[in-house]
Amino acid sequence: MSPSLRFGLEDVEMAWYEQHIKYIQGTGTEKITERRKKFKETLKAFLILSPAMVLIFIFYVIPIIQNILLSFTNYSVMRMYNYEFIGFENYRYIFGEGITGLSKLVVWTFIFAISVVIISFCIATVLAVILNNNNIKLRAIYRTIFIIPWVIPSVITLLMWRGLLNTNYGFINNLLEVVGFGKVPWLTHPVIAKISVIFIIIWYSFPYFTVVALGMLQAIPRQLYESAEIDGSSKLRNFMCITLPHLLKGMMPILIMAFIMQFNQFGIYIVTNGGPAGERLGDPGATDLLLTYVYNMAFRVFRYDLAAAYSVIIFIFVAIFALANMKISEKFFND
Amino acid sequence: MNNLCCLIVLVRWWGMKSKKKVKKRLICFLVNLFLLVFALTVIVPILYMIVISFGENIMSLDTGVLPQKFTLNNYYALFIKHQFVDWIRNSLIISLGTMVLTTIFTSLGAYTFSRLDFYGKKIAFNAILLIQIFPLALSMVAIHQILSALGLLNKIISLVFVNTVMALPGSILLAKGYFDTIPKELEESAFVDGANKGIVLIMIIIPLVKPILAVIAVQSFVLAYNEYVIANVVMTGGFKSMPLAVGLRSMFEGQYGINWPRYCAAALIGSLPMVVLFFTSQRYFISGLTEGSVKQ
Repeated sequence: MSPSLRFGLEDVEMAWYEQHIKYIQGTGTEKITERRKKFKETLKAFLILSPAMVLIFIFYVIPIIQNILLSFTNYSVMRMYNYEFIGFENYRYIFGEGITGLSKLVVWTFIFAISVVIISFCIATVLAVILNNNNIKLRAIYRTIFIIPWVIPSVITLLMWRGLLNTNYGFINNLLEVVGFGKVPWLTHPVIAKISVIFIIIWYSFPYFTVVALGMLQAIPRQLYESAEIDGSSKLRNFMCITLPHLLKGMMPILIMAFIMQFNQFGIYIVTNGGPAGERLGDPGATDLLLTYVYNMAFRVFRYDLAAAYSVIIFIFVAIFALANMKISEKFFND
Repeated sequence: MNNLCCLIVLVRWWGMKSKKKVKKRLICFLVNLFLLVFALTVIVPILYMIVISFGENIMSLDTGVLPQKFTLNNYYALFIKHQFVDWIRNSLIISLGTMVLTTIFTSLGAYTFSRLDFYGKKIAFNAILLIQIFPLALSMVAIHQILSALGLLNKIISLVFVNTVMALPGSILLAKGYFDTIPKELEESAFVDGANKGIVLIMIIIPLVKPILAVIAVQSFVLAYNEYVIANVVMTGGFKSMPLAVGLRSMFEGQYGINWPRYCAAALIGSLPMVVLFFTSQRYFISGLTEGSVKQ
């Protein structure tokens, strides 16, 4: 039988063929059938994946390429239709005049992302350990309460805090006034605004970590604790030497993902618009992350070209982290 | 600090003989205090919103923290003066569409990656890993251009597609890990009985991976429900075409100015779909989430 004839074999015939292949030895046909099978599976796989792949291509890959192209043009609201290719001009501007703004943005984005992830993880660990303990009364009620911020749509939470922390009519300041304090500019003072923003993001992102941490805790083998008890180790020691390493190891991929996802964090824009604003139009505000700055650049200053160039820079950042993440998680999975 | 000292003294006075017991009591007390404070930070803002949403509209709340009179006017005004019904309807269409498309594509994609052995599998998988991480919102200018070129600007279907694409890569990764844990022998026995791959997927695999599909459905719904950037860029057709996220924010800065009680009412109604979805699927959802992350 020539290979071309066998191309049209059905699955059943293929199975028969495979069963009997051992009788036809030394001809090398076994390898060919395997290849045919794989070829068939490739066709099937791409047929199944094609709708998703087309969507991803149109709405993910093309925009990214288009974005890179736009960053080399002078496309802005002044030149909607007659924009042209200007080479590295935008990048020259960003790394020349705009370098102070960019470095400020990068530093704040990193501080923000790291503090959100680390504080959420700490809260989640403490809560999970406490709630995993059977001695706590009202455990079920607390669990339900701590899930609530996760269940409310994040936009609503963000706007809620925007109202609550308003300097003039916000609930928090009213409460402080009743107690006898002055008004605190929660969202309008550059430094306090940064702290408030971190607090708000943590307020609605810690439940996810807590739920995952609870699951991880229950996956830690009981025997470890039992043998530790026999050896006479204290509870604190148990926590440091058994619970924490297990949690950290299990949650590392999630934490890194969460860190990278903070580059996609648009919540701050909804709370503060990235403000308190900088001195000039186009300067980054005090709470501007890279992403919100790109948005402001595009839809407040209407410099689409600069916005695109900034996005390319963020893409590069994220790509570095993504690759590092892949390496780290490979290591974790291989352990 | 003073209060705490008093409490310690009290606890001692309560008749605790041995020091160890006092210490234990104190730790227990501190843990409970921590939990209580934490729970209050979570629950007070929400309770406050609920109370305010039923209060009379007092623009300056200088008079006190709580409203004096209670009415239903805020809810009434929400439906009369704002396009609130349109917002909710738009958001629900977008989110449900995203949920259905994502769940279908994810189960197909994860099955393919988990069970079929094909050329370019590794490259495709790595591409998904990379794509998952790139924030799509960054290329908003380009997306705006492309959607207007395709004639999809101001159409709800475009948001469904964009949100699906955002949710897909991560979901496929998550689901693939779960699909891998289902033993292959189950399918093989079905193949022997003469079933084809489609039937096996629907009748055998899907029921087994229900928890992770619940996670993916809920996550994609939530993603689409919360999506703000692209929606704001794409839906430029005025108040009627806005999804909820964009509409709610327009209540804060827009022609109406800030009407805090009315916003609270909107927030309460706006949270309902997600709350209902979450608590109906909670059983599957929590188990799928923890198992998914443990198994990954």
